[in-house]
Amino acid sequence: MLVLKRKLNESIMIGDDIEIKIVSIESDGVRIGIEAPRELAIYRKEIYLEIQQENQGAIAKDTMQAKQLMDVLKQYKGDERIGDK
Amino acid sequence: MSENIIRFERGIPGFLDEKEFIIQSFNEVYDLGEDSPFYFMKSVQNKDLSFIIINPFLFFPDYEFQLSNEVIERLGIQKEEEVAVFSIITLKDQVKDATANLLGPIVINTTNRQAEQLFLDGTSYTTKHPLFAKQEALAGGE
Repeated sequence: MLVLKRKLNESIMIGDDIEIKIVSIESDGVRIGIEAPRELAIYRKEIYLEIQQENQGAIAKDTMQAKQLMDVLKQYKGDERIGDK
Repeated sequence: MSENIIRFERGIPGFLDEKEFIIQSFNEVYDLGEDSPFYFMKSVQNKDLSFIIINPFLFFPDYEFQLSNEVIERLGIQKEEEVAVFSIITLKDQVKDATANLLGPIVINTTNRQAEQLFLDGTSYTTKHPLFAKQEALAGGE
């Protein structure tokens, strides 16, 4: 990993069109401003990992179990939170 | 069938190579003869990979989020009516404990079939909202 030292309001360019700027430095964290093309999705890594982990655990393996969702839903009916559609 | 294929240009986290999925309702798969809020989202290239998804608004009527300009642009969305939202379900040992991932909704442009899994960073939504919360309360826990 490339490590660079930056001060407040200093930036790093990645290629021609991605800029990462140190916006503020506080005792409990650093605020970073990012300018990048819109086709790039930007997110905090822990959120990405959480979604990744949930996706991996969400693979529908057991179709019988999946079908049971309908039965549970039927028991659950009468609850106006769930529409008929 | 091909009209039900959606395309994730960048895959989804954990499955970056899976770009195309087909959405089939439980009604269609199991021939239920009734509407179902549940759907399968099956990988086109990997037959063993499928997810169960729901229309989250049927289960969580207060669910809401804003689409960023970046997402609107990436998916080529022109108007609100062409947007469809789904949430992925995670099944537990007990089906009644199933949870919905409201942190990472799947947003689809139904016109051009482009899709993306969003990350609702900065909201209170999580990856594990109980689908049948009320029923659990009625049962008084176990």
